[in-house]
Amino acid sequence: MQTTDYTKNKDLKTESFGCGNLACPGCGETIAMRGVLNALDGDAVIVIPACCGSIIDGLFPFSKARVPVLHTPFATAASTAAGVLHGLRRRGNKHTTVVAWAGDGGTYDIGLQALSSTVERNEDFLYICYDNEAYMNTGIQRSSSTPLLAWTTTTPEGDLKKAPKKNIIDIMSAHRIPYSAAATVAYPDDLVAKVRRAKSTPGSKFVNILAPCPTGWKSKPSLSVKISRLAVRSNVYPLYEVFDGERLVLRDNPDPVPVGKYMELQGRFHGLSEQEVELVQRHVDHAWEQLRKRADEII
Amino acid sequence: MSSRQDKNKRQSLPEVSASTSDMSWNHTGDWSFIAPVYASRTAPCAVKCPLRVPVNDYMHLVNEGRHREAWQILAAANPLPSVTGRVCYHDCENGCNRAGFDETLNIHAIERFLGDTAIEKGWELPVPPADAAPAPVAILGSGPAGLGCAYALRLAGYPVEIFERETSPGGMLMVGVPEFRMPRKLLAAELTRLERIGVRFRCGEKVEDIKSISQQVMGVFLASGAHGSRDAGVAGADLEGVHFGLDYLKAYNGGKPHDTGGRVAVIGGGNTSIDVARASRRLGAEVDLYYRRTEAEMPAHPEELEEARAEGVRFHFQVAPEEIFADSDGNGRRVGSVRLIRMEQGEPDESGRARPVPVAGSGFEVEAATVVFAIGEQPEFDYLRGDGALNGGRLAVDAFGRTSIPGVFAGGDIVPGENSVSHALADGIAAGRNMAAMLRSFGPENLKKALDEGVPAEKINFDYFTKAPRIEPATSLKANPAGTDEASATLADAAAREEAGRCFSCGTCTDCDVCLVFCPDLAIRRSEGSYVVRTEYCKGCGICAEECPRGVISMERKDK
Ligand SMILES: Cc1cc2nc3c(=O)[nH]c(=O)nc-3n(C[C@H](O)[C@H](O)[C@H](O)COP(=O)(O)OP(=O)(O)OC[C@H]3O[C@@H](n4cnc5c(N)ncnc54)[C@H](O)[C@@H]3O)c2cc1C
Ligand SMILES: Cc1ncc(C[n+]2csc(CCOP(=O)(O)OP(=O)(O)O)c2C)c(N)n1
Ligand code: SF4
Ligand code: SF4
Ligand code: SF4
Ligand SMILES: [Mg+2]
Repeated sequence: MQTTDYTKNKDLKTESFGCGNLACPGCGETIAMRGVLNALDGDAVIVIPACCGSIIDGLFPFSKARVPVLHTPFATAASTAAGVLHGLRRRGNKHTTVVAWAGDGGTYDIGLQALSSTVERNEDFLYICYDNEAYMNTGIQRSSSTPLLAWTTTTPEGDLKKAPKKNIIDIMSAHRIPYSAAATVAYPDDLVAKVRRAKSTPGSKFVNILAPCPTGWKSKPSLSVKISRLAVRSNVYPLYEVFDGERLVLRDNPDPVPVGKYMELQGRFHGLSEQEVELVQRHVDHAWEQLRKRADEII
Repeated sequence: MSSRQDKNKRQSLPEVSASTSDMSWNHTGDWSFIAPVYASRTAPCAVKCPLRVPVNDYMHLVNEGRHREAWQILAAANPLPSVTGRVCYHDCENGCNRAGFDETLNIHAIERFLGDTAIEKGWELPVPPADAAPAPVAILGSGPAGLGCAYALRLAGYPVEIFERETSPGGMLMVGVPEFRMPRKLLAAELTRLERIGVRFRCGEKVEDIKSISQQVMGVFLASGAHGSRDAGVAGADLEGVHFGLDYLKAYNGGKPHDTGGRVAVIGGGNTSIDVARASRRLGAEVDLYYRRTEAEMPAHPEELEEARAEGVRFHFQVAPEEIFADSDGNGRRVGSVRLIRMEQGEPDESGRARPVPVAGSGFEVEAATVVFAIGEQPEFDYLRGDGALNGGRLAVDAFGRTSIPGVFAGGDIVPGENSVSHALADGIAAGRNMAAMLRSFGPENLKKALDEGVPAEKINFDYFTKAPRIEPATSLKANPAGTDEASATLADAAAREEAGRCFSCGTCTDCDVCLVFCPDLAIRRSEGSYVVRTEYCKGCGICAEECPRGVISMERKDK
């Protein structure tokens, strides 16, 4: 059972997140942002580069987030966040969390350079990648986060994605930042706990949140949470944390379901042969075994 | 950046691009044509229960230790839970969605626990309104059908009188079902509780002619059950020591059991045959039960069969009696042996089951001092003096429980349908409610509303539950039973609570917040202890309906 306490005793006025967002029905991004803002008790500034997230937030001069939001160019989420951070701290504000909120395109690909240099300086901020595994806002182009054999408009039928998904947590770990973690929307308790842990850790923090996208994944809007849960239960998307680039804490999955159960709910995987699904299963099994071997603690 | 608080800046565009207000003016609900609708749904257990007990509504209360509130919900639908918790065949459990997950919920064990607890604590039924009519409704027979009708009429404020030819009320529960299955002090406790809400028993009054009472009353409910025995047509059946099952049990239950002679042959395969066999074991006899069909075809409930086996009853299938012989050592009047013959399955008969046919030359003889024919009971309606349309040997009734005689209703074993305590109770309650409604001249609109099919297992989100084994009370069956000690046990408090915790609460919102947490559009809010959908923001994604653990939410067209 995974629900969270953040909705208790809260009405719309006190949630740091309002109604009227511009997301598609069933979008995982909004579930993720609501969880994050509630975990931060609304004490945050958000920096959003070009991505669905910046559209979802609303039309200028309106915003669904009840915290300040800055829109920045595509590649600059992390560096802009660092600028905001220094401005706030100079003005004596020691408590507000500065959040960079970017898509996978803006994180795994185009924003990677800014992200790398900002966390290398160990700036005291929280980088969140809501990961919908493609450039959704511009019409579902592949990113380096797109999974193996997924359909996108740039990996069409007959030329599906050949490379497996890039492991961004490994990249962040290589920077030895104090905290990085993988979370997803179906596990709000876990998500909120990770964000709160990040908030209380000084230095650079990175959380990747798998956020199903019905439009880009060609899935039913009603299944977004279920698909997120199946990603974890099939080991496609393990939930884990890395402290100081070293200590790895993994959430165990004693009774995994076959990857086919996860893939069959998504049109982006339709038409794959049994052998292809089997190939994905082997990749997933291998990655899971590696992760278990590396883990210092399995919870 | 706190431009939102800076009122002056609102007049003109700010110098830097910064948001000034939130997006709630944007009613994204305009994008959708569907929106979630909350509805308390019927659980499948309740659909299977002849009494439609809303099991899903009270289990969480038991789990929380709120036994009295749970009992009140239960008793509103079933005034005899201590009885039905023991003798009802619990069809409810056949509907339990938990079967598709691990094991069904032990509903009847919890029902019995609540029934017993209520008796122990002295909990009372609600006080009915003052008598709403000058004359009573007459009820013929104090078995479960009569009791159900009386209960429903009393709750509606109508006076009732139950005519019962026996010296104490309860019908088959008193004269048929033996004490080791239904302790009489618990039966009496539930009956006196009904007396305290104004049910009047007129015991020892046999009705000879229905016309003698129908004049002075507002209406009549016939619930005289099925007490007539069927002739076995076997030579030697007039010998001493040959009995009909129900008569044999009535003698046993009345404290004056027949002498068994130490060796009893029971013929038949229904409830009565099993109770005869188990009672005979308690009288110290060796007991053999002969049934002409296969074990799988036995009408007795498998649980009863198991219990009888555990108590040393020997079962023989596909055998039938041919002739009963007198004991050559005695006075020549008492049974000494029975000749039986093996049967095999022939062509299907009218009931669709294979017709049992004798295997030529397979006859054999067994010793017996008592032979009991328990081959079914049938209703008798001498008191109708030929009135009333029949249907297959039973009284025909319409959907309201009305017979063809004006003002006369009927239910229980005398009408077509299943013969069981809870079916009889349900018939009585339904007829009582219908009578009350008609008596008030409201017409049939207040009648029991048709129930839906119940929440299907696919609507239960198993991801939100953890598996746990079904809990049974500790067994107390003995290989050599003696006396009237009850042959089964009641769940302990902690066990009852734990087992109740396995209930999914199918179709009942438990305020778990799952829908609220996952709505991507914050369109679900709490309101006065429940939830409301702000349809002006709902985009109709359906996540709430998909995720709800217990099938409470369904998506419906907004324009409906
Ligand atoms: C031995 C036995 C065991 C059973 N075990 C079970 C069990 O474990 N579980 C289960 O669900 N069902 C069981 N049954 C079936 C169940 O008992 C009946 O289906 C149920 O009792 C029928 O209820 P009723 O109210 O229609 O009739 P009854 O319970 O038979 O009550 C009818 C009453 O009417 C009275 N009566 C009849 N004629 C007159 C008259 N002219 N004047 C006044 N009073 C009259 C009778 O004395 C009797 O008290 C069993 C039946 C038998 C015979
Ligand atoms: C430098 C630059 N290149 C391209 C674009 C066009 N663009 C806007 S959003 C976007 C895709 C963003 O993808 P991602 O970061 O994964 O976020 P998503 O929309 O999938 O949520 C692109 C290519 C841009 N705004 N700036
Ligand atoms: S789980 Fe509970 S509510 Fe659902 S069918 Fe079983 S007993 Fe009834
Ligand atoms: S989750 Fe929210 S937006 Fe989606 S259908 Fe339910 S109420 Fe509507
Ligand atoms: S998800 Fe939980 S709170 Fe929402 S309707 Fe279903 S049972 Fe009720
Ligand atoms: Mg993306």
